[in-house]
Amino acid sequence: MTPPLNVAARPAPGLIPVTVIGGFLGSGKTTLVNRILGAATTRIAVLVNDFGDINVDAALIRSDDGLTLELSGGCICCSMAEGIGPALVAAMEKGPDEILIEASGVGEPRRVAEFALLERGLKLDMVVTMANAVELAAQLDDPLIGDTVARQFDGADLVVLNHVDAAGDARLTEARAALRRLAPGKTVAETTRAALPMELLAGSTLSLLSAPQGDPMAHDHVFHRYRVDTGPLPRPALEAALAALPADLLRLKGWVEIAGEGPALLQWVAGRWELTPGSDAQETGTHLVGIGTQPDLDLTEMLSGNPLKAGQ
Amino acid sequence: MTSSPATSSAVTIFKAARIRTMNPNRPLATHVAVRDGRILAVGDASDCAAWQATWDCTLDERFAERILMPGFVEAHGHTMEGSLWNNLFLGYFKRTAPDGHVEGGLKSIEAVVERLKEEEAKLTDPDQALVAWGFDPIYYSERMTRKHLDAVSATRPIVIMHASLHLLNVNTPVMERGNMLGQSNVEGILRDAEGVETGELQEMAAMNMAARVVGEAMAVRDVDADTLRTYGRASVNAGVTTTTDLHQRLNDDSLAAFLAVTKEADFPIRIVPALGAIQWALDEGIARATELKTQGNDRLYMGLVKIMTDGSIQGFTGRLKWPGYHNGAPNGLWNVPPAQLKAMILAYHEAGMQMHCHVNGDQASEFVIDVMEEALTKAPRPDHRHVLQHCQMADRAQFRRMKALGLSANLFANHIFYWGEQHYALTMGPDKARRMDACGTALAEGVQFSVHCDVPVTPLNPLFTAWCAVNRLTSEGRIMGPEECLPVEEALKAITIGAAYQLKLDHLVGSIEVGKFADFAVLDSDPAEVEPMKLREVRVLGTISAGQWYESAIPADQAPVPDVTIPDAPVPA
Ligand SMILES: [Zn+2]
Ligand SMILES: [Zn+2]
Ligand SMILES: [Zn+2]
Repeated sequence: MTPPLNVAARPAPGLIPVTVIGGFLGSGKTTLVNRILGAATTRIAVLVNDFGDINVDAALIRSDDGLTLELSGGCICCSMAEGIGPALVAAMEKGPDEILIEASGVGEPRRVAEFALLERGLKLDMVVTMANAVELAAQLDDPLIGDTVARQFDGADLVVLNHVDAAGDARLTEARAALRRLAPGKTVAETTRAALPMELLAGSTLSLLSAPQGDPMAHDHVFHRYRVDTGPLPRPALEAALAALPADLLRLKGWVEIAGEGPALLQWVAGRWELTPGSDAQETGTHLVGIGTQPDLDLTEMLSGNPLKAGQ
Repeated sequence: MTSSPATSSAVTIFKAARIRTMNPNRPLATHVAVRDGRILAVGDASDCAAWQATWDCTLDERFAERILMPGFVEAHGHTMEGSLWNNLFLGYFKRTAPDGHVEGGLKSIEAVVERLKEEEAKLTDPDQALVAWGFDPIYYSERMTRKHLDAVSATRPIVIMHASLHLLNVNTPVMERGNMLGQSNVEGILRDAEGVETGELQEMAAMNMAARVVGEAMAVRDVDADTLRTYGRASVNAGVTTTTDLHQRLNDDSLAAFLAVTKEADFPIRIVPALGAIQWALDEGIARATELKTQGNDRLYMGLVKIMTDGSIQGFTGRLKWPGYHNGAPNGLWNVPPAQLKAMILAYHEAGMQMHCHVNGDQASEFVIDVMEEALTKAPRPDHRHVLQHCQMADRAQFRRMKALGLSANLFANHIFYWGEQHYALTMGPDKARRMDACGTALAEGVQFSVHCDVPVTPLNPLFTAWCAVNRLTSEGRIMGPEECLPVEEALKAITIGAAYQLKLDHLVGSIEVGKFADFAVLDSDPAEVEPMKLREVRVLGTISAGQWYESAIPADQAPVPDVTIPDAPVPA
């Protein structure tokens, strides 16, 4: 077991990461939100929907220091009033380390994500769409909601097929087939009670790096962790490699020493990435941790400008 | 006669050329006696002589050459009209501002740009944003881009809200300040074939950002006193004495504004706000609606609940049954998952509330009919008066079920004129467009109905709405579905007693009848006598509300709006 990288004490860069959790009613969004909050070591502001699946766990969400903001619906033809925009501004004013948005049951997560893309001061971290393994196939066949459910997978970085324990073989097979059709090429994590490795969803720089790496976890058959410890990397090759990393690598973070420039903080999420120059790295060299679903991904090779040797 | 009905206060008798009462027991009269803001008696010259012998009264002959009708009732409008006019109106068709002047009628993009330049020149503060509304791109062959708006000003933020309220046009300064250039991942920022941002924005994220850039001018606030007063003036111009504000959060601040303004001595309308159910968590919303029922006064009636289901048809967000949109656009949007809508409708029904349900597409109307059937089976309630609002695409079978369940329909007749051509060509196709806003079917199947304008979506003007329902003429002069045309008499019922019924105020307003409020529309001619195609030309001189006269701000010589070109021989479609 490798020790955690020693960057936990560093201040997070200025942009607040935003995670969007979408999915139809009953897919487990609220469970996931509560899991994230329960495991959080950082200050997370949460935007929850008044009409969320059952009630958000009051102890976890409602009793905190004003970091929970309720979104309420408005008529879609005249509802600038109480939508996500004003709630996001209010959330930013509270200075959180991260922001979590629970999209409404009929919301399209990618449209919600546009708020984070546009807002200076925010950056989109990850778009997660959840599906209910028990009900997905029936939902897709329902003329009232089928198209709404299907659209929610557009733009997702990670699809979570939840309630797999309750689905039974036939429904699970159907659900998997539906997701191959609706979310081709996307990473699908199968869960029970939305149990995902928490470092996967933590957008703050602090969380992933400070979490112990390589612990055996219940989900190791789905998620794999990667570690890169190498020397300085030339910028052109690095940038080319970052652009070419596979989408099933969900997250990669840490310090990169750029040859001739110095250290930079890398944050890579499902294909979106940024390098923030920083001079306060305590170590030299490149030290990164990642999480994804490919069993053998040789990130060291890939980042060194050798993409052909990458796993499969 | 041994005693007069009361002696406490003076009686005014209004004499008119004709009073069309909308009361079947006495359809026509010439005199109406008013005391304490209520109708004391309705009759003719000989009745009047008897009243004068009995009561201490004044004869008011100002309207002796005029026609009186019950003040019109708009059962679906929004007070937002009262604040939108703080900004420039840029409509293709002319529209009357609450102060009576005419705006819009801009028939080309150049005309739009010229009007903007004129307005821009009046602004002295270089940072002040120029905000406009009512622009409707469907009427122009050319697309507006930020080049057009940069020509108006390359430094001052400019935001143009589309009539649909689903899109905006902005100039380059707005895009720069809003961090919207080079955002290749944001689909709500539209681009041309070369990938250059056109300045058209859709989706809440981009639109919200533009609103933030212009700040105060587009800040959405709760309804306030000024907005309500302006809405009152707009109502007077249209002959409206009772109207709705059909989607409000109704928190304490907005309730306070309603309570304060409706107590002002010269507030000319009675207003019926509806609590927007989706703006509250379910249990809190029911508690609030229950509490609101105890509030109100002679000019303010609480208790209505608004349920939003789908979007709009012209925005391609209405929910449709098979075969969907004529041009193949994907099906529309639900505001809330249907299962939650169902829970909401069942709960408000069981709590004894009257619901007005926004349903545009036929899947949305069918869904609400299904849920209402369940609600009324589980918890039968006499005289519930739930209303399907807009109800634009319901077919005959749905109307039959509505009749069986006692549901009312408030049909969006103005759509036929403003967007009929678009429905014909793009959204619905000829077959379904012909039966949109099916007033004829509602009448034939015995469904209680009214017609509405959804102001500010289209202008507040019940006589124009009646004209739409009677003639079904599109902006291009096509008669869209002549089989659905409404007889004039039925259209007049729809905008008076029919709408009053839907607000549960038909015992107080909607006809000129003893005991009801003395609320009248004062007209220059009798809508029941003019040629049906001229219904829209009947002039409203003002209103009488609780016996008090309010003069229209529209100059007497002003041509009727919108500027409709009626072809010599309209083409039935
Ligand atoms: Zn609306
Ligand atoms: Zn509506
Ligand atoms: Zn409306």
